Amino acid sequence: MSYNNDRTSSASGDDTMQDPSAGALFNVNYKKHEDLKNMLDQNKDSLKLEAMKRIIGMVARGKNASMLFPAVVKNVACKNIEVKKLVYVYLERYAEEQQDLALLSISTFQRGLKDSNQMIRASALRVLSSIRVPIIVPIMLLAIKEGVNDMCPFVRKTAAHAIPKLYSLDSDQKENLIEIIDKMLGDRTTLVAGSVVMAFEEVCPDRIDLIHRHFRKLCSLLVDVDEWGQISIISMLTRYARTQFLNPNEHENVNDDDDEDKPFYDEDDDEEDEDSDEEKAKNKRPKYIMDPDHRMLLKSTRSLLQSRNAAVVMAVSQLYYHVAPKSEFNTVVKGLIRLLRGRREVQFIVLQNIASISLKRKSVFGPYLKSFYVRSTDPTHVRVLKLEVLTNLATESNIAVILREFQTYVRSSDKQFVAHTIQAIARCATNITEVTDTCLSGLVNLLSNRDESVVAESVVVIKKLLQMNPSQHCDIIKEMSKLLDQIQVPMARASILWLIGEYCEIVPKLAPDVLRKAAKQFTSQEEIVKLQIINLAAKLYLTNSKQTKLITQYVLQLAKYDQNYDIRDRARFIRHLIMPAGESGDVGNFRKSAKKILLAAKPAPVLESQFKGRDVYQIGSLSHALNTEVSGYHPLPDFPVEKPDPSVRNVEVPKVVDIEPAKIAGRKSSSKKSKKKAKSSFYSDEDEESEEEEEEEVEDESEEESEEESDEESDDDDDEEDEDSSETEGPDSRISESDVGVTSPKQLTMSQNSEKTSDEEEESSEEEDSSEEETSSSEEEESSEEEEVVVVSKKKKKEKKQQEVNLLDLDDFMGGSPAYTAPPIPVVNLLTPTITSDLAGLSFGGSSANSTGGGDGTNATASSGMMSFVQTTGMNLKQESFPLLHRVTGEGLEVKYKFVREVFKPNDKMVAVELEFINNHTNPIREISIGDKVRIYLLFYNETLTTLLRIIGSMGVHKLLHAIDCIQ
Amino acid sequence: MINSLFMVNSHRDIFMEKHWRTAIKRSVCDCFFQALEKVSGPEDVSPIIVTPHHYLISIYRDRLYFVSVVTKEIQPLFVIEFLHRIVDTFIEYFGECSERTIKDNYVVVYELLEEMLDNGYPLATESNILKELIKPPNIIRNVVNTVTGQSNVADTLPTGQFSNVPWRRTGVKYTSNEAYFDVTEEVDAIIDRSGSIVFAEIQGSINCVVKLSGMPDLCMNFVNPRLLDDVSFHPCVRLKRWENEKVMSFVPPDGAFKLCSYHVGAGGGMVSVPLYIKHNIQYAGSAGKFEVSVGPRHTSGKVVENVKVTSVMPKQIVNVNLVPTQGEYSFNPVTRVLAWDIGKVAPGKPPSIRGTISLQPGVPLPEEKPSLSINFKIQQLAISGLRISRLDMHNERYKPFKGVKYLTGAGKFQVRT
Repeated sequence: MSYNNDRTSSASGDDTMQDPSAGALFNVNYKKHEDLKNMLDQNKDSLKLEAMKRIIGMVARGKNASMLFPAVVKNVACKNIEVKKLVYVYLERYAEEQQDLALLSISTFQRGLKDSNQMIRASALRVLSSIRVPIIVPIMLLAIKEGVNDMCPFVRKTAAHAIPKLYSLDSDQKENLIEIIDKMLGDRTTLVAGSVVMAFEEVCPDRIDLIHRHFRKLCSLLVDVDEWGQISIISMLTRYARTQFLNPNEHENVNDDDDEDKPFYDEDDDEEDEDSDEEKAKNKRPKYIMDPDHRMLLKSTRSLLQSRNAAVVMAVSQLYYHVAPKSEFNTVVKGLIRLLRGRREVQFIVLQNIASISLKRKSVFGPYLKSFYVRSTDPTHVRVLKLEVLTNLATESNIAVILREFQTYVRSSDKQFVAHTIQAIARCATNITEVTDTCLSGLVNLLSNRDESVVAESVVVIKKLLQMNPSQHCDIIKEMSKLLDQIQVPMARASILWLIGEYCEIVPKLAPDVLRKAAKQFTSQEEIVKLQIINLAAKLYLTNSKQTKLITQYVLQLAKYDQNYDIRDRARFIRHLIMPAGESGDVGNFRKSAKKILLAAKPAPVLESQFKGRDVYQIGSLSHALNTEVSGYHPLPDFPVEKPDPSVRNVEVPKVVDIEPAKIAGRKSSSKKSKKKAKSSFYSDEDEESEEEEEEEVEDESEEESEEESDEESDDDDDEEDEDSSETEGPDSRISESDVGVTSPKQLTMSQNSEKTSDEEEESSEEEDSSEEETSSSEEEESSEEEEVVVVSKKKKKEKKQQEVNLLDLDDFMGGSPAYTAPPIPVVNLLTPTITSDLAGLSFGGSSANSTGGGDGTNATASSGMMSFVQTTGMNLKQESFPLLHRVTGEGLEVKYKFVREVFKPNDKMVAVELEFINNHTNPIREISIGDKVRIYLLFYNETLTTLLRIIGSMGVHKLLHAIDCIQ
Repeated sequence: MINSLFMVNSHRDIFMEKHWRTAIKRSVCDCFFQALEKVSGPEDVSPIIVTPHHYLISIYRDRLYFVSVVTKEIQPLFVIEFLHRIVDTFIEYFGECSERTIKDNYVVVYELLEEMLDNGYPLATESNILKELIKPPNIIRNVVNTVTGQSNVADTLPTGQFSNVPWRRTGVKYTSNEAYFDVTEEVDAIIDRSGSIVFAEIQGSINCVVKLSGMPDLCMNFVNPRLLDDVSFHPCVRLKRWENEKVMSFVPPDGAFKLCSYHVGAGGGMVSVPLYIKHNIQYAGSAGKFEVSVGPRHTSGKVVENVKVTSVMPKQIVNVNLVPTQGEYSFNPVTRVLAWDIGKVAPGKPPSIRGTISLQPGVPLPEEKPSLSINFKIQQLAISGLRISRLDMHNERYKPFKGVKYLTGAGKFQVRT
């Protein structure tokens, strides 16, 4: 609103700023700003906001608002968040110019850095680092160091962004900053990863050694990092790969270019060579085996080809171009082609890169030839690039199609485009010898075109083509000499004159006549034409001096007095070369050598792509687009000759990377050791075998899944052990979740408390259970308890790591939604022993068999907890469910339970256990009661449990009071 | 990284500037203006322009230029994509991106630019996060804000920032839960003068409007997922799941978004073109013959609607005198655009238009014949044959209302004559 309001006045004010003589107006302007200052000094936030908005309006239009700095900076501590933000925006713009005054604001930011609101911490750090006042470098450094350790990942991200800012302000801090970067690279949050790598690229792109330890982590995180982070990580990893891995193409490098360029039209002669070469190569070198990390990099980036962001697709493509084996480059081509349908600017850049790539690897683009056809709506620069690519892709087999397409283009009304098409035809003609004649005759047809520029362009390229084989094309030369009367385009005239001069011996009768005509018009011609007339005269004088001596002298005489010194120079040079004054002997020698000089056989020009050699620059870079080295460009290093040590990438605890969600999904429901024991005791009484089988099936499934996806599921020798992942939800996982930023410290302490209590419980129940087991079961896996404990603790460690990584995995939340919505439920599994025993002890209405007596004691307290059923959808498919009541025992009623790792919605102090009721009996069930006090009415969905119907309900279990009750 | 951004209108005025690092004088844009003067159309200016000290990377959208200044090596596509993202965000906030809306909302624009880039590096670009940080302006909120003194700027961090689903905000609530999916396909084709298809492909996209409470986890199955071998996804789609099972599984952003776009037919696949066009255009002396007919094919019984043929005639043509059997035509002698609006084309007698064209006397006959571009629409048909077989929702308990719509249209559909 105010943007337009204050426009007139402030515009005039601005004029006065530039024109000091208008003193009166300056006063008005001064008062005007006085007005703003007054508003800023008021206590009312709304006035301040209005004033700030108007000031920002000035900034946005590029007007100078720096004189308001003192008034604005006072408001940096304003409570109103919007005023504050606008003040920040203003500070970032002008603090650099008013350093002393800017210092007034620093203390506010320092206070802000300690604020409990993460947003305020982040924005304080951000502004502090953005105001570019060199004096505060130490403060900035300190703030960054603090920010790096912040609980909130967003603050850490801001800290990462601050690193390059500090570096650009004071490059002496490099060492300190590298230290910080090194530390931050260890951050496992996807939010932070991209920003750290950007900082790395800006501050210390040469410190590849810092990346080693984080390489695998970065690869596995890559999918979940935001688009912009992905781009910088990929381009950094490209450089990394070029220094750390061997060249995957080395064994076929022997005839790299030939290999790619010739296969179509030189097939016959080359085939054998290639084979033998390759064989030789094979003999020479040991077979190349790709480093697993190299493979991992390629694998983890591949799915990003489906990103909606063109820059990500391009980043992956350049990675494959520079780092992957040639045979795998095919995979990215489709993605690149897809970008061609993007916006005009995207098309332009992508076509440039394809033009460069297609010079080396034309075969991969072959199937997509039609995607490069020019549309009538394409802007000119896109059309020209498409022509370039089509020309690069031309081979003997597809040249006919391409030429037909070119024929259509030649008729276009865009003359610049037509000119480029003609050049493209010429390039095809020189590259593919089979079609040279066809192209040439096509081009000669164009000479009769009405448009002069088309004709001129054709003349120029025909001249080049004729040089390849002049003697056969005598008539074309004659044809062109006739054109000289019509064409006025200087380049074309010059080309014709040169052609006739060069091949004057082929057209001996025509040449002097042409010279005669040209000499007549000499004075009115352009410079290049004049130069060519002199050349023609000189050449004719040497070959046919009888007829042309006078004309030559005439031309040289004219040139001698030309305005252009270039032409005068040339004329003097030629005159002395061909008509030397002096003794006759010397003259003869001179003439001989002059002939050699002027009529030397000239090699035919090679028509090359303007993109040749551009691939020294990294594909997709600005340097590549401009074909010059842009400042800040890091050239891609060559692959090392000797294989660098791959062990540098090993992290102390291996297998941190690459854990797949399915594994966890399988695990998260898995219970602790004691629970398992409880279970076995439960089964040990009846139906042990069939139950066990079922259970194993479930386990097997989950394992299969995890094995499918994870590469290094090496050591799960024992199902039971794997099952034992008791501490999945242990303290460490909580830390990692706080990484994700969901838990507040309060929650943390709370859960720690609960953990303590539950730990105690665990111990007791363990004892209980094991004693039970001793009496009831005779399973062979039952080893001494001590041993098992050791195993468990080992598992603990492993689980910690896995859990951390997996919380970041996108797939994780499909199994358990709470990973990102609800706060973590740390105690689920810690409670399980009691639950299981409880549940095991429950007797169901209608079922006569009492499963175990184990839980009877706890069952007594059943009234102190709470439980309710809520109908849920059939999600959490990946979690394992455990049978609670077998259908035989339950007389047709089958009950399964599983731990969903979710807060129980009606009461957040409880955790949810999901029960699944299946009625295998023919009669419907209306009511299920557990014990005396627990009753489950199937009322809530107004239905009875009919035959073979599955109903899933969830039940809340109190975290601390391990007893169950049931409402409704 | 991006140092500065200048917004330039079609009169070559810089109407807004933003600097993320030390301010750069707006005179850098002079090089850009010079380049503009050299080219014929506004689209023809090169996206990258070199100036003595800076590099200008620009995009042209909605008749505005967005010129960014960079000083160091950076992937040009990075900048271009980002600029487009800025424009997309403006459109999402203000409904359109024009000089007027940007000027009217300059405070919001400035706040947005401030949040999107930090020191030239992208910070928050996901529209859901931005909308939580800075609320989009609307009249009611303006009124409420003036009365209550609330502000448009949030004082807490958006929850999405921390989660694995930054594109969705938490605590979404709707009374009626709906999810609509539009499968839109456009046929791009070049047909040569003999009627054979030089090039044809389908560009499809699935646009969604999802208004579901909570954190729904959707899973979309296709009858024939094999068609989709060239797809790009919104970041919410789980790529692993797609690769392994060909199932699109995602937690959707709130509101309207583009789930994926795909291409069928590039690299040699067969694409059926729903129309055929016969034409006969001849010049002779000061008059000429013009005859075009359009008929349907491969439409699986659906009616082709909104059929329209347009063509830009060569400059020698003064007027046309045509008789259509169906629909009506218009010819603008200034722009020389001939438009024939046919309407529905049903199987049976194909509509045609014929008549004479008058040429400017005394001028050589035009060499080129006008190429025809065709527009059409087919409701309830995805010409590639793609069909969504089912959509499941997990993680939430309510029953959403789901709707799928198919639509085929013409993209760059061009007939050479």
